[in-house]
Amino acid sequence: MKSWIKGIGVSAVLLTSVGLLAACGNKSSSKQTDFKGQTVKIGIWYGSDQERAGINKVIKGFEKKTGAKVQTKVYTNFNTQIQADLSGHKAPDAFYIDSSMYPWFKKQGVLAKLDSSQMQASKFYPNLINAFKTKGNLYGVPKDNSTLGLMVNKKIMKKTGVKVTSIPTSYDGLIKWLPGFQAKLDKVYGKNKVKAMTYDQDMARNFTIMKTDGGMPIKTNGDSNLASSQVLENMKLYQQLVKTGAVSTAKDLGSGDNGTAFGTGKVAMTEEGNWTYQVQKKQYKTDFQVLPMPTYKGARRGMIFTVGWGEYAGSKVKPLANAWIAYATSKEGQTKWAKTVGTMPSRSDVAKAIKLTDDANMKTWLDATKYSTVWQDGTTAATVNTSYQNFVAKALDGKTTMKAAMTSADKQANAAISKAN
Amino acid sequence: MEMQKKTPKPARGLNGEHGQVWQAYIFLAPAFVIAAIFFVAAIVFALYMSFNHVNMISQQFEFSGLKNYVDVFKDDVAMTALKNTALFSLIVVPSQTIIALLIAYALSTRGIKGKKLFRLVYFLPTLTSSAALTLIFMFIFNITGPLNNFLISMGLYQHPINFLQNPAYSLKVIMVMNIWSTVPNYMTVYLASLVDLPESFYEAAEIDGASAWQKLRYITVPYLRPITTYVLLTGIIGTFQMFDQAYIFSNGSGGPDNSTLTIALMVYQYAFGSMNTMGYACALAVVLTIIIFVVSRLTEKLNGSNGLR
Repeated sequence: MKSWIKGIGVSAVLLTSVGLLAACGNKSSSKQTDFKGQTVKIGIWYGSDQERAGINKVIKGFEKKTGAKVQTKVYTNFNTQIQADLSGHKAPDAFYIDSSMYPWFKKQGVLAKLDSSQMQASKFYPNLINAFKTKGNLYGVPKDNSTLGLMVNKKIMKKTGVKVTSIPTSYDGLIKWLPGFQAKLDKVYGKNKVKAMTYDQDMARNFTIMKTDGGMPIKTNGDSNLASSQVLENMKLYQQLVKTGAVSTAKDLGSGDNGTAFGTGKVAMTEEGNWTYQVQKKQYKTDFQVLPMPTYKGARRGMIFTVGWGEYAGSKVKPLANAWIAYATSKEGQTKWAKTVGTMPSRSDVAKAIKLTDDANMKTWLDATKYSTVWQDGTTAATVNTSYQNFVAKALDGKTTMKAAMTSADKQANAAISKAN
Repeated sequence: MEMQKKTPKPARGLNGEHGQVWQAYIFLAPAFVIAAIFFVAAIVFALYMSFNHVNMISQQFEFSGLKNYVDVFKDDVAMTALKNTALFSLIVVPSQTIIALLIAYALSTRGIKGKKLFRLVYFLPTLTSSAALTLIFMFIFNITGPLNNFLISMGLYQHPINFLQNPAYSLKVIMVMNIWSTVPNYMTVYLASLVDLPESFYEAAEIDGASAWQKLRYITVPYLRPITTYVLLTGIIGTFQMFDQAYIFSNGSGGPDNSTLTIALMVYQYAFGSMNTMGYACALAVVLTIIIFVVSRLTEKLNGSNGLR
């Protein structure tokens, strides 16, 4: 009994002192700029060579400013590897968080609360910074964002004699127009050598269509709800697109992703994000134009993907980690990053500073921020998406009805979700 | 007294009889420590976790008895995965064994020209990483890929077959891929043993008027029986643990329509998905281990070998 009370006493004292220390840390951190001799470890992944160059520039800027050293840990399969590090209490002090994974990280209690004023939260686009807030508290800062646009290969259009301006601006129009366009492609390149357009079997891409007119692919309690009537109604769009015979997934074309299929000239049009901009220009030297996303049920719809910096709750150098996140997402840090990588900044002052809107293609992607949906839907989105990807192909192939496929997907996802509770 | 005089006193220190035993233990120690930590401790911990509801990140373990195991047998998806895995093994293991044996037999026949070149060429697939291999096969089998083009130009069918996304084909594509990449390895194992097969056996058979088939049936196959046991066992273990090819093929989902879902892929999904279901994953892994053990023992018995002596 006595030792039990003692235990409480000791932990209470410890907790208070830790709290006090943390409070001190927070206060001094917003001012502290000299971190000589300290090291902050950051956990990242590389999406491209440009990203490697970009982060190195940001690191150099930070090291010069603070005197601290930045150590990178590069993940190749982030969601798996970070879990191992978190379990071993060895996670980096600051790490990337995809907006869709943010609710999960938050639920695990591994994220430290961040100071809104230190992070200049008011300078960010509200829909992006809100993706990293829980109950008004800030737990992550978006480092950049990407949207989707309809990319068109101008060389292929020229060769087939089709004007870019003649491409319909709505999905309804596209569905009628695509078969004719495919016939022209077949004539010039040979049958099915070049497909008219790609589509995706991925909830991260299909989410905004699924949600149209109140569709709810995931219930508020986290359960999978793919077979609900409004979602099924919206899924008809993809069934109709596939029926044209002119669309294909990148995988079906033997490419890992849309950007590769587009860059290697296997497809004339693709819905893809601005992250592929530099890759297309430098690696593939594709001559392309970016059009706004087609309209569905009268409005343009697209997805926004944003990755933010989160801070590990168990970090031993929190003031330094705070300073790193603040710098990497500051006007100076983001300018370095966005200029090199070609992603779009998450704050408007940076977008203005780097004159993003001067480039017509980038402007199209930037404008998409206004009509697009952030990819995030609770802690079960990844599970539901796995199940969705598993079953959707069968329905799009016409082997079964969409309702039957989505019912199977719901059943499987919910069985998995119930095991976690 | 006389007896005592005859037996020499064991020398002391590291050179004596006892010393030699100790020396052996010292040399074994590093391997033993590694095995103890990475195999024994890991297995014991996995067993422990399989009886718990586990949250790895907050390190919470909540005892749940046999619930995870009961869930495995109630889970339709787990049964589908088990069915896929068993079917995969049932087709791949005999195929790879027979093909490897036949190729090895052909290559060990005297008088074949360019033997070394053939051996080299046949061995190449094994050197390819399975990730690269999967992507190559996905390219070959995709809807506008070379295979479809070839078969259509032969006039076998009109509309390209969607090998990758049609559940009826996807697992079979992985089977072909797996057989293609594992045969060379086993072929080499068989060849190594065939080199030791005394030529006089074949000569004696020839004098008795045996055909090539009879020589294979009554000399080569029985001679290679212990090797066949090894090939079958490693084949069964390898196929039951198949993960990487299914993972790349389906982007980790096990689709389309659960057709490429294997037990190992399911273990991965539950262990590292965005849910705290490590306990269930461990239960699945334990069940898989038991299945592999039982199937391996059965095969060993059926092959008529008394284990790998």
